[in-house]
Amino acid sequence: MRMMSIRRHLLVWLLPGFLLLWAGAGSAIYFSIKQRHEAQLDAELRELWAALPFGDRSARVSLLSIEDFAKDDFGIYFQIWDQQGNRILKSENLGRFELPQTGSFGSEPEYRDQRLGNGDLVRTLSVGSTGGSLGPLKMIVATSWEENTADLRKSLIAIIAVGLLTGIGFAILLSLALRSGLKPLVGVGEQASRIEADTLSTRFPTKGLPGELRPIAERLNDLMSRLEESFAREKRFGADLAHEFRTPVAALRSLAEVAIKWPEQTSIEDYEDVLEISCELQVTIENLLTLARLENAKEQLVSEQIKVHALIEDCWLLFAPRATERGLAFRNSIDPDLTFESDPKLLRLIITNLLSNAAEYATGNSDILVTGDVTGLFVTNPAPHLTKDDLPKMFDRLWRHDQARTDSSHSGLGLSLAKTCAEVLSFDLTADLEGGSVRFSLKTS
Amino acid sequence: MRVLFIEDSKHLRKPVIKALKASGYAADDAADGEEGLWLAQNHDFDVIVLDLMLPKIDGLTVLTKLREGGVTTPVLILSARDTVEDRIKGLRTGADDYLVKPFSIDELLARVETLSRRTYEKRSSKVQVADLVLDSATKTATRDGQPLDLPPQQFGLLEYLMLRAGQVVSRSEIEEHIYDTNACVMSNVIDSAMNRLRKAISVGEGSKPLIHTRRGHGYILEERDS
Repeated sequence: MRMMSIRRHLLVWLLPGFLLLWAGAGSAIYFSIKQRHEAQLDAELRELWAALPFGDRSARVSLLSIEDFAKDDFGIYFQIWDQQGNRILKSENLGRFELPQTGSFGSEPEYRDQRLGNGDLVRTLSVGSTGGSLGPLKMIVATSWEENTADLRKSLIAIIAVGLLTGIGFAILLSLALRSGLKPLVGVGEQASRIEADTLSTRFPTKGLPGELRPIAERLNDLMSRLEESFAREKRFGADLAHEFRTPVAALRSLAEVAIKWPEQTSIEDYEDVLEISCELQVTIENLLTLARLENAKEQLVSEQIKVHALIEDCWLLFAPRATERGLAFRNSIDPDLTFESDPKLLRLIITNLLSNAAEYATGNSDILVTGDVTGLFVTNPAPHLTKDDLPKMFDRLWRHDQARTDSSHSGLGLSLAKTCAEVLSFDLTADLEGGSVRFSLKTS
Repeated sequence: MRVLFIEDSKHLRKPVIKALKASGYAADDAADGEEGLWLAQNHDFDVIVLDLMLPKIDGLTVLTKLREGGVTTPVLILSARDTVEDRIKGLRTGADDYLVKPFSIDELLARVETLSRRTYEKRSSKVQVADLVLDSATKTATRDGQPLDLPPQQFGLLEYLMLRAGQVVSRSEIEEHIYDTNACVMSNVIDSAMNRLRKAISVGEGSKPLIHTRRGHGYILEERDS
């Protein structure tokens, strides 16, 4: 389901919300005005009642004077009944209609709105009288709402009109404010939608962004940097992989084609070359497969107490001839009793690759030093050719310091394998440079 | 025709050089950019086949330096890099052709042949002087319709002379274009080779001599009236 835009969402909620609030406020204003009118009418009725001869509650009721009181049609009515409900008197302006005989007709006046038979809405005051020559009487004095109704209608129209105009104004202002306020967000969204694999170097501008969006833009920029680095790494890997396979395959193909085309020129050396290339390709493929399999190796881990000193000595035997050839001195200064609890196969793979790397790439006639304690082990050797820029790439698959990748006996997977094994064992394998030497640290915690 | 192959993989250098030599080219090879650049700057090659990922000096730098130094020898880039950007970059740097590894050896030879013809401004693979016809593509030569049986080096010599037909070709030029740096060219080697070639292209008593000696200058292949 397509999500509503923030702008529309806010408009849909705020505009009806505003109108609802205005309706509430308008109603409150309207009823307050109406209440004021009622109070005013009630006061008028009380004045009328007080002005009536009947109203002074004296027993001397002069029916004539009452009749005089309401003979003109000023929207004022009255009617009097005896206790049995028989009409005694009513104002002339009531004509054939009568005031509804409602109320308790006690000594205290009661007020209510009633509609006359002629359709006129009136405010009534009903009251009872105990004395007089005519005995106890019931009386209702009424005054028309007509003028007040017109006022109330005007007030209602004004409230609605103001509400509508304010609503339209609010909608326009809200729309403009949202457009302006959401502009940076829209900008970020548009820029994000334009990002492609080949535009990963672009960054979201953080200057001038609202405070709420800045952390988002900064986070996105951070992610973009990582993504760019990841893409660059994959691209490097792709190019390296292409070289790693294309050149030997080209050599195999050329050897075969030349042998077919000029068989008389084929020698045993060509077959030796084929064998050598095949073995190198096999090592590369197996290392790549090991890397892929290691990602799911956690479930098959074995945990044992491993004597690190002895393991290193054992691993070094593989590289001792090469080290001697290159004039390298090897020193294993780890305490013979030091043990690590780990998977022996993977730990051996890590150490083998670290020592292989040292034996192959340490400066000729230099020292390889292995140290360690419970926190981890460290392999150090001189490597003046390495730079700080090389450090983040050293553990990449197929990375080699030699950009030409001439030495086909090494594929550049050893350190990557060691790193992956370390991750599987929850170790941390890092490299740092100090004084022209590289130090690989395998930390156990 | 003399070709320089600059490639760091010894496994690839060997069969390619073998194929080039078997096809009548004098072929030299270099294992890194530095050596390749030196050879290209100090010898007159007809075609240079250049890898990009090279030790010491990378292929594109070699190419840039060659072009900056005025070396116009056609260059064929032979690389594992296969992206369009890589090809464009290589061609714009001054390469004349680009071939991605792995490749067919026949395709490589065809491209080398095309580039070597370009040096002598020939569009067709066939060159004819009088009744002598040479086809660089099929590596065949005929005289008066009869096929000639020429070993690769003799074929290369004849091809070079025919591509420069009507021009005097000096001994040093022949030495540069027909023999690689490993060949020990004695003073009479070229004369002997030329004599053998004269015999090889003479198919009967009616065959007019086409290769003539210009004393003190060299040789010229052309048809003369008498």
